[in-house]
Amino acid sequence: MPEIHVNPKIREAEGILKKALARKEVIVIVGSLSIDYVGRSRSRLTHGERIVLIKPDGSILVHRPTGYKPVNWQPDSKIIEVFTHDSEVLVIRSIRGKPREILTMYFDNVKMIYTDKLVDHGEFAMYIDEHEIRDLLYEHPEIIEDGLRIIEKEKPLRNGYIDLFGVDSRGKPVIIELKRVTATREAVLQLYNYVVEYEKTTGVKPRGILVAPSFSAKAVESLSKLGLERREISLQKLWREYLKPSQTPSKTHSLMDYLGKSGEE
Amino acid sequence: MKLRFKDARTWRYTMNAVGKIIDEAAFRITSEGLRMKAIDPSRIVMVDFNLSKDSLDEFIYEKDEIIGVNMEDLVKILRRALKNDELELETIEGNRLAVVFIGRGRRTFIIPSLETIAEEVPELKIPFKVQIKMPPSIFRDVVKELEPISDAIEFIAKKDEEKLLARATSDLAEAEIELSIENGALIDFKAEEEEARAIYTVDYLSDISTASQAADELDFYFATAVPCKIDYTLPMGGRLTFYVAPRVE
Repeated sequence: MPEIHVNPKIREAEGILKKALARKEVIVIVGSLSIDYVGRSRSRLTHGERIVLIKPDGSILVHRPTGYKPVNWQPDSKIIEVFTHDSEVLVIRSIRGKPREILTMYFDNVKMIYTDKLVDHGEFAMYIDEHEIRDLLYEHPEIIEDGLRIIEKEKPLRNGYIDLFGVDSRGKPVIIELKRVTATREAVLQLYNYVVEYEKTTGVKPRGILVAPSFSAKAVESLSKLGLERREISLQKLWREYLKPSQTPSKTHSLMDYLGKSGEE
Repeated sequence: MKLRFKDARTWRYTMNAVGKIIDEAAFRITSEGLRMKAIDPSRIVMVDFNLSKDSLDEFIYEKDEIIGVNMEDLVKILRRALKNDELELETIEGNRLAVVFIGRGRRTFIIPSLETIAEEVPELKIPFKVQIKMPPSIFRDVVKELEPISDAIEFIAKKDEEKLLARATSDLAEAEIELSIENGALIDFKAEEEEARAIYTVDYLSDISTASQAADELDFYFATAVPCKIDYTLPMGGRLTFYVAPRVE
């Protein structure tokens, strides 16, 4: 259960923190503190109002009111001690084993403490880069069009490199330009230049397809004016279906399915 | 409450296995002894640890109690258990638990007892058709050998041939281990089903098999596509039992 304590007394804060540490909860403390660090170097941060984050694995982050980076941190802690000096100063000390690093925080005022067990089974979807998309489409051209065969990737032309070059089901050459972000008019012109250059060199007019997760209005307009095509792809879907580390398709039952069936016990 | 157990290392290995399955444990103390039942958050594994008062060298019971323990802390301390150490557990003032090793000297570790609400763990009713007794080390070796091949192990018990097959299959490789009384791997084999088959996730079996070091005997119960029961008999008559839900293909 989440607990929020606003303006706890130093002694109260000590009790709250000890309990939360024993339960391995996530702890957020807002208050005024100074910090000593001894380890690979030595530092002292004088008094100021800050946000301290203590995670169940013993990692600690101290944030100042501005900036995205913590001012002090411990990647993990072997021991976290909490005690008070004369009921006036709350001391939290984190000791790291290897390398030995000691972070000591001295609070003279605690504005708020939040403690809770947080659950996070979320999935971190990794977004893929242009090379990965290219390699993936090289292996699975059917994502772009059925019957498409890719012959070459990074095919050199006089004015640049074509991301993917192939032939469609009717034997017509296809030039594919890839973008991993919204395709703009510039991307359309880039593709158009390849199409023109290819036609100039070979005498054959190829199809040009721009592949991207989305297209700007101007890009769509230019594509149709220049007689080029577009295919929308979902990066998340590509990652999920093709690149995500495979997991077993089989499912595990729950023991809860086996309550009250007749038999042993 | 105060209890004393002959071999601290039994606790070390059993709790090591339990700690891989649950984060917090609620040990229930009654006049009968100590018992801890819990189910993992995914509801795939259940553990039942039972030390009756007869299995304890000393048992001072005052009242029914629940001792909540963070398993990571307990496992860390129990790792200090040496050969010939006895283990003493005592609830002490301030809602704390003393873990004492008595061997070379008397080493006391004190950890906070958590205010845990002991979850009512339901009784399972599973129609087991196969009961196999084997040395715990064999079970451990089977899991260890099949673990690199696949993330699941299929067990097949053949009644007529009186043997147990353990199989792991992946896209690249396959492995099979044949266990029977005849080839010296099993101690006893009983089956009511002609051929029982079930698949279990190897990670859970691997976690559970670490308790093998502590046990004298192991009974393995299962049937086609039902949970299995892995029942360790501990020295001095304690029991550590695990249930694992099967996989469905």
